[in-house]
Amino acid sequence: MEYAIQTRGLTKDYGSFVLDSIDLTLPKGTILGLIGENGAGKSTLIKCLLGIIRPTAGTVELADTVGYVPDECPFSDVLKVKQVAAFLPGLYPNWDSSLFDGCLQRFNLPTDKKVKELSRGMKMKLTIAAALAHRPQLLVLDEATSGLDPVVRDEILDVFLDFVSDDDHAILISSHITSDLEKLCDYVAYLHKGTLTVQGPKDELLAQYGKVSCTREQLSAIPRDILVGKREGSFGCQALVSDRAALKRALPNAAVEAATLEDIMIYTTKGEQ
Amino acid sequence: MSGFLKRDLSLQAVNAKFYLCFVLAFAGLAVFTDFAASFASLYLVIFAGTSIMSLFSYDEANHWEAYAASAPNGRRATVDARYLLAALIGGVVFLFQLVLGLFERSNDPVYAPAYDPLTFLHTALLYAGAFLLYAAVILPISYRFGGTKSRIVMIVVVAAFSALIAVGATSLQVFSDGDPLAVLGRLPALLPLLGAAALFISHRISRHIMAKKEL
Repeated sequence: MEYAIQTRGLTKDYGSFVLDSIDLTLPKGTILGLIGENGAGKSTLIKCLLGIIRPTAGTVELADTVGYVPDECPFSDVLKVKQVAAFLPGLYPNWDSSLFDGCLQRFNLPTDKKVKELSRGMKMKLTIAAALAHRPQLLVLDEATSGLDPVVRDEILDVFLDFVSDDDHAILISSHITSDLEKLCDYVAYLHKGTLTVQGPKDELLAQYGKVSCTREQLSAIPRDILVGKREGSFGCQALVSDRAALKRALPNAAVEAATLEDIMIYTTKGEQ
Repeated sequence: MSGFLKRDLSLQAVNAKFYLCFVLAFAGLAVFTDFAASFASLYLVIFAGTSIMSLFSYDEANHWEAYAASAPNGRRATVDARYLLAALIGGVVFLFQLVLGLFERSNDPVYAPAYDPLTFLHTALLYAGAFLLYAAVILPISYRFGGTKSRIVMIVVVAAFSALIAVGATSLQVFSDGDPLAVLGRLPALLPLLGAAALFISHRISRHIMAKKEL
């Protein structure tokens, strides 16, 4: 399989919320960033992928081995790190104890401390070490870097880049911290109210989308089909467009700047309001 | 499955010191005084039952079931490990009561003339059987409702069980020609078998619950 993840029409219907017919692909050797507001369905999508919840419809194809890093450390607070290290090999057939020990050393994790004595960053490192040590082809991270300080986040992002340097590996990472994803990801998928609104190679998306500061008259001249969202203030307006070249043709004198993932997220949400 | 069993054992070990202090204190009393050994075993059964339930609370606190389900064969293995643990605890309860009973009676000059090894065996079988039955009931309830809600459900189950015993005792009086002990005398042999059978069925039910559960 050339993809680490391939879904077709993946749907989960909760009645009040629907993850709606998700078609998602993640080529091997790449990193996909999953962004979206709270309650957009990111965790639901990840849980559907991993079989933690059952999809209502659709198909999921995954790499043979998957490492999962949830948003909270899954290891009990009362256990010591060495006790966690003792039972994990029995969970995974491909467990590599030397790799796990190496990760603990690299992350400076003390083995004789209880999990509850670790900081959030250290707990996350422990969970990541556990996910890496069974040598998965695909790493799935659900808000794993949220709440971590920039230094720890940077350290963890380096680990992910190392991991994906093997062409057989891939990463799906969901995060609110779009700046991290801009540094890390090859592909981006934006989930909004259960629907994949934007999906594609990150560099193409960032080159394609543009943010423009303009007057009300200029705003009204922007073609509707490229207008993603707008902000109107007393001193001027700002808008996000999905086609920078088309905007240049429509408003040659407008000041257009490159959009960020955060812009895409905010304006897409605001566009509906 | 071994990883899940090791995890459960590690979590049990956290509370074991506390439980052991009580059980050993009662055991000491049973050996060196007139204190009944069965009381220590009863405590062991209660502690064992509580500690099994506490595993579900640990699971809930750390969303362990979702993590476990992402491991290869995780849903099935986590259930298998917990039932194996329950069976092991049943064995410990049996051995504890057997050894304690032997020490208690053989050291006691009052009971020495009536020394009958079968009595100790019967008592040990009764306690082990009772624990297996308890585990057979509590495990699927805990898998279905989780660590917190299952405690409330268990109150209802215990109330229903008490009512059943009351009805059973009355029926026994009626149907045993006024000699209920003749029927109850068969319990030591029946209860472990009943417990093992119930645990087997319960295991199937829990596997089914976990296979379908949204985590």
